[in-house]
Amino acid sequence: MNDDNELDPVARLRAADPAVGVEPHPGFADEVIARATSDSTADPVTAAPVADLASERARRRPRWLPIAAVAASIAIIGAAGYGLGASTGGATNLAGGAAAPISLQTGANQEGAVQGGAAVPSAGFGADQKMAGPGPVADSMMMPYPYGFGRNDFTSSGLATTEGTALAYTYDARAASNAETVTALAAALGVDGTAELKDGSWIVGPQDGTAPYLSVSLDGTLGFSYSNPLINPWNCVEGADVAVPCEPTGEIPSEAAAIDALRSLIVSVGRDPGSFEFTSETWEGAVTRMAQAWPVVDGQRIDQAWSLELTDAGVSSAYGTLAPIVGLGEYAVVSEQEGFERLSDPRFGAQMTIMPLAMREQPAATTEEWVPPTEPPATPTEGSSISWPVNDVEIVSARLGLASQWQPDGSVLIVPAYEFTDADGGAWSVIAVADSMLDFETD
Amino acid sequence: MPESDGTPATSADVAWFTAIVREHSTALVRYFARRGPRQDAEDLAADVFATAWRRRDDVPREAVLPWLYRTAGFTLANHRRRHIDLPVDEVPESGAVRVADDPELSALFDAELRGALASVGERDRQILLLHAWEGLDGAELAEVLGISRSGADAALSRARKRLREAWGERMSF
Repeated sequence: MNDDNELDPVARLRAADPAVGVEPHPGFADEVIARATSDSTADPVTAAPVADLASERARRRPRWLPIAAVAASIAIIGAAGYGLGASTGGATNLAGGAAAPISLQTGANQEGAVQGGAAVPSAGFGADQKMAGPGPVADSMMMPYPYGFGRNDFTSSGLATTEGTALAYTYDARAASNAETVTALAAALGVDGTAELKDGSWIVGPQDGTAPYLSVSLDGTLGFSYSNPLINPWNCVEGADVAVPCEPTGEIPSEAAAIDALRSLIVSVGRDPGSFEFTSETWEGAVTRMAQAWPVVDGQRIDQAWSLELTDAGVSSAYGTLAPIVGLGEYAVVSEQEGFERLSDPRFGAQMTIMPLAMREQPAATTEEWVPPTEPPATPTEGSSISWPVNDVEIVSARLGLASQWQPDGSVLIVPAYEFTDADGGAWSVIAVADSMLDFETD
Repeated sequence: MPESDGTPATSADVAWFTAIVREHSTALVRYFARRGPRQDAEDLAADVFATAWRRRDDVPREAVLPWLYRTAGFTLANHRRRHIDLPVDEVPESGAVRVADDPELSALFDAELRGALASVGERDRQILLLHAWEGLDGAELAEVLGISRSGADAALSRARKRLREAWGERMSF
């Protein structure tokens, strides 16, 4: 170990800890304790049936009540949720009318989770999803419990057996990967300078945290990331007294201002803002306003939105995908029934371990008193059966939509995908493209 | 096995929970502040504590903080999926890693470090950050990663080696 050696990158990494001096606000622990311990008697069924991030926070912590949580056309609650609930399978509640995006990704970074492309219960993280109605939705839905759960037995009835075709799309990253496009975006963000390709990214502006900068990574969606540390209200002053929390200040910009700012970014790179749907929200206690722009393809939102955070001093951060979406023509798709069968097909990885059981966990008030154990579990006896719990998942409806799918080479497709809703309100997503168009080769 | 959810809280539970929240609040808030927007850090930390409360029967009393970090990892991954301004849906194992969008790295303004970290794998990066920022190694790191102690030692050693190599390559220019 040579941590003290200046040349050791681990020591340098340690020194670069971005959370130095970060402290929870005074009273945080008390709030957490009060909230958690009082929850054990609360009735979870009364929880809000719809959860975008704003309402989710509102439910957990009343002081986060969303104010002016209004989308471009209708209330964001139910419209641009961050997906606590299952999908109702439709466009019924979306501002602007596009159907909810389907997400096949499961978070490749997460140990214990199945990799992308698996059958995914998307409740809890599929954006723009809504519960079918008030249901037994507990806080625990938000919590992943990948601890040994995840064997599922899927059943269904009445799903269509007709095969068909559906249009697929892709991101044309190379079409926009040029200095002109990136420089134009930088200019729209107020960053002076010409884009340079450096270390695998287009860069405009210094990256040392002293000034606004824009970077565009050479990935399949040409994802850009902009940040202006000078006006980030959450940046605390270096060396400030850590006992005094950083209190951001400022006026919350209007919804129209945030959406206009995002729209102008889209226009600056030659894209048509008419092919996006816009949403915006803020929270009580916040000093910034977020806006999102959802690409809409065939009447459906795609799960790769642009996002921007506006302060009264300007745009403090923005993310998005510069690559235009182009058609790939028709792909054969399996029937609803075959799609359903994929949930039980190991090739499509239905051993998803995150949401379903947690969703079903009912914090019902039983009366068993917890007593500290006094000895380890009993030794299993000869011939005893082996516990092998399997969840019963009853699929009740199916919807064909679109989901983004990352390829091993980094390119990104937007492929037909089914979203199945189960009887308990969970949603499961699986690719709908027929086997004949799937390349099962491994590297 | 009875679910914690169904177990009424005893005063001992509350005392235990109060102690761990007070002891570990700062550590958890910092964990999230290092890996995502500062304004979400407290909410996410509160989520982890709420989980700990509900799962109090499952939290190993002798290794609470590693359990909290492990749960924090899941909470964060879940949050990122929901949180559209951090599109980390998929980081390919090989090929182009979306460095600019990796929230851990976006918090890091040291461009040289960021470059070196970007060129080690996701798993190595996770281990290195847990080690460097959360100060974990040995048995605690093993708990967080959900692997054996010897496995964690080896993984950390490998990750450090890879980072040093990536660093060396960058520094030799």
